[in-house]
Amino acid sequence: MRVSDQAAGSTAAQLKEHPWRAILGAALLLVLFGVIPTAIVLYKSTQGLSLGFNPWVIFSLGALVSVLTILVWVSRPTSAYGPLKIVSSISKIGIVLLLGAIFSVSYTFTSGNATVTATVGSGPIFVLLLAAPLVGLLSGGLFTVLDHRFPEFRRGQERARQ
Amino acid sequence: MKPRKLYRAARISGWTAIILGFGLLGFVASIAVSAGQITYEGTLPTSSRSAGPNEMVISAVTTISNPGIYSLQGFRVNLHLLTSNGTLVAYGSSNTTVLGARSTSQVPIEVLADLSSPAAGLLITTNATLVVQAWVNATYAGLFPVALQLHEDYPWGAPFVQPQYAFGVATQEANGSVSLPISMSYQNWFPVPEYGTFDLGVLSVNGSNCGGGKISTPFPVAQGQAFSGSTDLTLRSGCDFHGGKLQVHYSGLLLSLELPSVVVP
Repeated sequence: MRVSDQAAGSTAAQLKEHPWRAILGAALLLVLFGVIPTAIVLYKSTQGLSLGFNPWVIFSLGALVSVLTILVWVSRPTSAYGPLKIVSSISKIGIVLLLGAIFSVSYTFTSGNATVTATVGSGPIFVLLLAAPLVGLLSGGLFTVLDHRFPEFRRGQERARQ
Repeated sequence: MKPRKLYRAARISGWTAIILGFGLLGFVASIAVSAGQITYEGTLPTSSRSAGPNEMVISAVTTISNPGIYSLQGFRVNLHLLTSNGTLVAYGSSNTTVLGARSTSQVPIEVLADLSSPAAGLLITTNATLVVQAWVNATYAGLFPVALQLHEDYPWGAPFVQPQYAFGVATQEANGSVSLPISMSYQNWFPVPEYGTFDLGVLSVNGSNCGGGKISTPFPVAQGQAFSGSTDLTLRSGCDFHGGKLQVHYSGLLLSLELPSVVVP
């Protein structure tokens, strides 16, 4: 990994000065993508919700998304930003495809004298959810090409923005 | 491509990915919240009619309310009625329905019961606890395939509970025929009021037709009401009806069926 600009008021410089920002960001992402969805699923499972897979899979995938997002953010001032963004997007595509393959939520409840089991399967929503990481993949590709062909251009632009 | 354009495209696509990601997550969350407001209620039966000899069509209505912001497509209910030991006695389904956002719809279901089968035949004269099994298939917001499976005990009220027949003393008529007084009674526990005519036929021991008569219910017999009526059966002279069978066919407003036969004393 080539670090071409670490002292330009950029993310890396901010990280050196305030390393807790990355930790706090990682913690917030972990709560958003891992803790909250897992807590909801675990709470609902006591009320009849059951997944077609272990609820801790959600936490693991959420933690993976959080780590990848932080890695991409931290690597922003470096030429590894584009490739990491590609890796992160491909991982997210894999996660969406995995969830699409195993997703099946069933919820059992009583309504009057009746016992009702509702099952929600995977459907076209997962194809739609692929849109975000696919566009992210495009972005990662463009940043990779930019950093490869014009190594200093992006740093200059981002320095100017700050 | 010039670096400025490349940089701008990369930034725009990066932000687009972030906005799309959060937008789609919000969309999925709104679907989950919206779908949670759907309510579903079935009423069985609302009416019934005869579909043929010993066949009864029971009409039911499913009321489905979708106060959410997304439509429910391909809504279809399949329904089975089973005895407590799992024997299928009736089945039916609704048409496929589309239910728009913020709307309530009543979806009719017709359930066909073949009363000539031994299990279903018991339901003519015996109250029972049946099991309703319903399957609902639909697609919510055009994106989520949803399947509902409902399991409910249903108290079945039979239309002719405890049918009882009392035979009088046969007398010889002047025209040579035999008159046999008979009275019958039963209770209606079927939820829909019913009235019609009982055709009574007597068969001798060796199976020949001795004759018969009719008893009509002059008024609709409501749920929980008892009915009793009587008539004189006109039988052929010389036909040995003692030990033979009394066959009872009912033909009414909603039902047309054979009641269990009884031995003539």
